[in-house]
Amino acid sequence: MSQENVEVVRGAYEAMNNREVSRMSEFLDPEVVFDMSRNILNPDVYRGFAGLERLMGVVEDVWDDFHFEPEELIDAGDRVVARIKISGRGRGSGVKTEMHVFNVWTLRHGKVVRLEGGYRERAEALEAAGVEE
Amino acid sequence: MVKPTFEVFREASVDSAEQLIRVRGELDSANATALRDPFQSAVDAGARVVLLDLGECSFVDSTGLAAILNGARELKLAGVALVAVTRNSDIVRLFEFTAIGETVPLFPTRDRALAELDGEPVSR
Repeated sequence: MSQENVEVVRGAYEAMNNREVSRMSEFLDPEVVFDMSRNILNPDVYRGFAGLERLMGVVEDVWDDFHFEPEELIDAGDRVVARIKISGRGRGSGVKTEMHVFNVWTLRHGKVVRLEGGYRERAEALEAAGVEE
Repeated sequence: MVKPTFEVFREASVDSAEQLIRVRGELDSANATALRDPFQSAVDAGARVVLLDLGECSFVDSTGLAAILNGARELKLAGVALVAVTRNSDIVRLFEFTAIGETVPLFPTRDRALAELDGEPVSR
């Protein structure tokens, strides 16, 4: 099951990259919670598909061509720790920016119920997922 | 917690070519459009440069950043440059993270911004 969870998370990133919010129901529980309170930009907790749309709107306010690249997906049972490269082009400037963050995904019955984003350090993300290094 | 009062002031105290707009409080979806009129007034007053002073601005969200970007675009069409001023480390990080600093250069003080605009290179 947990390798399947990894594939669900991979699919969710793909759908977000393609701005396929309608396809997100394949991957996300309707009550999904996106805890982005650690984010630099618009720190907040976003709920459900409406929350996801709001979150994508935040991104489009300031970036063009925003993209998530999962570089490592760590299977942690009902959780998946993702090391991702976030990149985009500044709206107006076209200048490319990149940063690496860790996200912790929690899944239940093959769907995402929670995403905690914006961990800067691998150790804190693994700790949040209950994984010992 | 009580949300800081939001206010925008346009000060023509430098000279007509260099207009100053000060923002106090939180620049977010509730008030981001409030920048439009001061930007337009600065153009009408003959500005060549607008200094957007965010020194007393405690928070900027994505709509606030978008309003700054849109303002920069409109000002540029009118031949006016927009620069921003703040030492707020959260806002500095936002400008860096979103590359908005490439469109709207950010300086720690008004003096540094004005020196740079007057052609005196200074390190930011």
